[in-house]
Amino acid sequence: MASWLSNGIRLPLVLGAAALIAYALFFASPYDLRMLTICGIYALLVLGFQFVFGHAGAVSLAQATFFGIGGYITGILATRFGFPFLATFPLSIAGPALLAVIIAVPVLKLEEHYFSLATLGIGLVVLLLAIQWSDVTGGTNGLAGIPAIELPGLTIADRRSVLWFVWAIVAIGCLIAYQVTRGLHGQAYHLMRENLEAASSLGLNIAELRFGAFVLSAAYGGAAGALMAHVIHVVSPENLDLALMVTCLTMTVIGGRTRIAGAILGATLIVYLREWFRVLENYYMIAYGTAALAVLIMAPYGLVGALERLRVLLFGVSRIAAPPAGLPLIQSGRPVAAQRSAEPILTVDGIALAFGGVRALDGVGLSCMQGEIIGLIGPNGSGKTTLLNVISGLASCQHGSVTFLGRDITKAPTYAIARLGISRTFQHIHLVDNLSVLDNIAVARAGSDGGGLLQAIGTVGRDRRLQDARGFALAAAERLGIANVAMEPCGRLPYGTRRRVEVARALATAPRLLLLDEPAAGLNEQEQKDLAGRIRSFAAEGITVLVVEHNLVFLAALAERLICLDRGKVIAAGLPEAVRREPAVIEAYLGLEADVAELSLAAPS
Amino acid sequence: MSALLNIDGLSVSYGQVSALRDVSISVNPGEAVALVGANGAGKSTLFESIVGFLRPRSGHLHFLGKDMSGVSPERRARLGLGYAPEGRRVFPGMTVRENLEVAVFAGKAEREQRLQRAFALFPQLAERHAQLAWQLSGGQQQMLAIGRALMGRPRLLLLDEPSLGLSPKLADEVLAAVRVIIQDGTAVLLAEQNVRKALTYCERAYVLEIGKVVLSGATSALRGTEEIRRAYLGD
Amino acid sequence: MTLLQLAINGVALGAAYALIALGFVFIVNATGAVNFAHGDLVMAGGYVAVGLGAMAPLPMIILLPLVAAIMFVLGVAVSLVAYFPLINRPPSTVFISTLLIGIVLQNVFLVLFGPQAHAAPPLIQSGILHAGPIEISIQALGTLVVAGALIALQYLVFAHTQIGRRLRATAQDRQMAQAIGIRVHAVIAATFGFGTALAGIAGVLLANQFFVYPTGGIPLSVYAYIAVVIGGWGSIAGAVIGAMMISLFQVVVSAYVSYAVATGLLYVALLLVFFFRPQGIFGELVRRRV
Repeated sequence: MASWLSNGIRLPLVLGAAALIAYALFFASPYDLRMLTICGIYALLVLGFQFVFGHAGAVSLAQATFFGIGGYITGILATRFGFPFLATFPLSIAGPALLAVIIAVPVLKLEEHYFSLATLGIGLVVLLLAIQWSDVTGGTNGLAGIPAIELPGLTIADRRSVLWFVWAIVAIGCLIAYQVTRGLHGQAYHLMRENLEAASSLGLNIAELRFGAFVLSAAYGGAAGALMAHVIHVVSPENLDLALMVTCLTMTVIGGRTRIAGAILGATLIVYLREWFRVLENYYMIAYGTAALAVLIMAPYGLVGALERLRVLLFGVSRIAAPPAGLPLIQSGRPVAAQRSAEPILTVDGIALAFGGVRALDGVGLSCMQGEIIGLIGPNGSGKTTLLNVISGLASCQHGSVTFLGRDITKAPTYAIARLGISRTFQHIHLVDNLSVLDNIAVARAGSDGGGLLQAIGTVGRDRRLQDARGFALAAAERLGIANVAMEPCGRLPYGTRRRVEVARALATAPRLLLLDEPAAGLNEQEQKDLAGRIRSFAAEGITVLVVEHNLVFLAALAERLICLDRGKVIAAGLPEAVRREPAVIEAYLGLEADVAELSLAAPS
Repeated sequence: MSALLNIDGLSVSYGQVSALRDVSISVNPGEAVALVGANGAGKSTLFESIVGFLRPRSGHLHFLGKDMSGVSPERRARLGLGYAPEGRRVFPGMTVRENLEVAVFAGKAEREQRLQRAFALFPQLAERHAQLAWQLSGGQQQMLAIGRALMGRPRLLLLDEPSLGLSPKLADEVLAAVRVIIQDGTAVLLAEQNVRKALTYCERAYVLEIGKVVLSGATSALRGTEEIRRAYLGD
Repeated sequence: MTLLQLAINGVALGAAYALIALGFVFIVNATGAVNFAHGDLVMAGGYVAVGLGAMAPLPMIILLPLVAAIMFVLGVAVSLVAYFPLINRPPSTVFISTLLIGIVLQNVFLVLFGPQAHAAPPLIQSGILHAGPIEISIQALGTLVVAGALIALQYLVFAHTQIGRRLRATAQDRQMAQAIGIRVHAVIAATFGFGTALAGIAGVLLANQFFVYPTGGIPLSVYAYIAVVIGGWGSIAGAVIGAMMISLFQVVVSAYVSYAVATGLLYVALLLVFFFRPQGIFGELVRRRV
């Protein structure tokens, strides 16, 4: 408990919360009680928004719409049909969630600006409906007389009880949010925000992650809207409009986009800020807007982030809690045949890809046998990385096919290709800086056994999936010799170590084929030798490795076969010594038409 | 100090990576100096530091005798630093003529004059003067990038990997312009992966290997040495 | 009303919308930022016209350059507060900062002018011209002429002047623009200035017929956003065409159904565009399979 408290700014936050609770219990006036209740409702709204905006990183402008729909469902069913709370509340959650499910498929595919505008458009249509369809919605005036919350045998009518009830629901909301984000699922979101390509090439289904976040945000919005209807007894188009959306955005950005505490802090602060500034009468919104802008400029990670920075400044970096002892060292779960199969594991045939008038790949073909280490060389711009992108699914070719383990994966989505057993690294390393090495590697397991959203929510106590993932991660870390820094945050590691973390992460998916894009770049001689040795050991286990490299020394110690590309075509393939002596290769790659003797290319040591 | 460019003990980090370590080079007026080294050796990083996109961790950078620390890239360009980057980076939605014109900060007559000089240097550009830059071939884009860099009448031209993605013949065509550029009064610092070509067109060379200068001297002396071979093949 | 008459009204309105979309797309191109206060800046132009009109009762066409100058300065000021401090942050942050600026602007209007609607003085004079069965108000005609002239001027400046080339170069590759000596920060501030000046002029053109009120800018920001999306993100011609389409749609459709329903149908049409052609009319599809 003590260690939990001392981590980050949890202690001051808990003390602040305790103070607020004490105030509410003993000193609050009815007005204060009402204010704190409103804070809770907005906190719930913001918690939901954090899923889609903070965790999934998508600027949805429909959050206020979901809030309003929840309020209207409650209002309509309660005032016109007399439904009790236990019926209206779930329906107010299900309604927006259903809408989210329906619009998610077309809308989530859109690029950022278009996505925002689409969600805005939907919001505006719903707003118009609310105003125009006055028979049902009460038009501009809305619906009044929404009753207090009625549970069987209990009416929650006085302000104090309402306060507790609303905050109890907020607490449940916080718990669910915590469950969703604490395990592999949360780390998957983190990596997704960091770099989409790295995330999907580890098997994370981006579309599914976004979908879950979107629907969850809608559910929370609906719940908050329903509660608001019961608290102020009125629902009107104001509950759906753009002004509310702006308020929600402001609260989220000021509190902190991904922190549960940030939702509560942001909501409370903005609600109170508006009240305090009311003193300024006409100028209050101007002051409020200016203050919000100032916070936005000065606190990029919201107030919670700013508080954490302050804490680091005063007390130093907090330790990352070590995982419980006795982490099982799980080896690769994928059975690898003892003998090399006769069939190639990967076949690439006639790949052609052109963009902007440049033929990046022009009829490229190759095949890899199980357990081989193949080097892919060629001058800059020859198409090496593009070929890796086509194989791993990040780029679509215009002609040709890619076959892996007998299956045609030419048009398969990136995450599916990763789950079939192809894993890769990138020229630029993308790690999540403030997660530990172990967790950075563990996120690779989210694709295969991360489980869905529902499983994440339903996890009680120790997160078994996360533990298993960390077990895999530790094993992978051992293979790369970085188990001793497993608990270090990645942001502070030297480059060579970061490269090893990235390779370990790619290894943690238990791949059959490993694509490495210039892994030796930036490493010193010792590190290169070390890495080469480790790659050889992977191959010995039956993992096929395709390495793109400029560094021929590094490859010399490693590759059994070389393939040389130049301007999108394969110009030589075969045993390394032969390829390196090939005149076409020498000319293309090194630009030396001079006699081969001038550069006696020594055999690998 | 008569050197156009004088770099002393420069160290640059790219985030976590130490890309350049204690690099010292200089370029004098009228020279064509080559910077060779394998990919990842630090050539582009050095150029980005000279241009002003990267701030060095330590060391000094003097251009035309003035200390460049804190000087913005646009100011350096106006002082006489021309830059043709790796990957060309021509303005894709503008025509050839517009790409050249936009780089001139002088009156219309002067602009026209410089335009004609650029066309004289690269006749292929003259033929295509109204074509949009993204439609040009790799070689033509390279010519355009160099032409654009020269439009400001720079004292020093930084040429980053002009032969990238070009056939040897085309690369020769582009690099032949280097001698003409020198004659016109602009010094050249040429970064190249292609050793032979770099040494053919330049008098002096520096060899970079993983961020450090391992060799320097007249190209006639360097050709065919062990160090050059090792810098690429590391035998 | 005949279809021709509706079309004429639609085009006149569309000319003003085109100016709004044009200013919006400049800022998008130069900075990648969506300026959601743009509509409020249109209102600001209208309010400046109202204020100036109260001080000097001249036809707006004479005061137009002054309004443009004031709005230019306002645009630069907005860039200094809402864009430059956030230049290294994710783009969504600028989106939010412009939303907040919008709130501040709306409430400044409220404080200075009150919640009621105001009308700006006409461009030249009030009145309607007749040409056979067609009638067109002098204001609408003036709007068409001014907007048309500005769009033509914009095209000329962009295509044929050094300033225009430098604006385009900065938008296409900011770093390389620096490397050839362009003072990119000044260019970006100027882009905000020009975009806002265009918005302000549109405000003057609209304020006589459609009045200005504190929250009147919100739907205009949405229309600008829609126009740029329909026309293809970043395409200048597309933005103008998109704006025309919005106004024609509004004017023609709302002759048959209520204005509110017409607006609703507009949004539905937008969503359909997304569904069938997600890159807009002139946009490029990004080929990714993530």
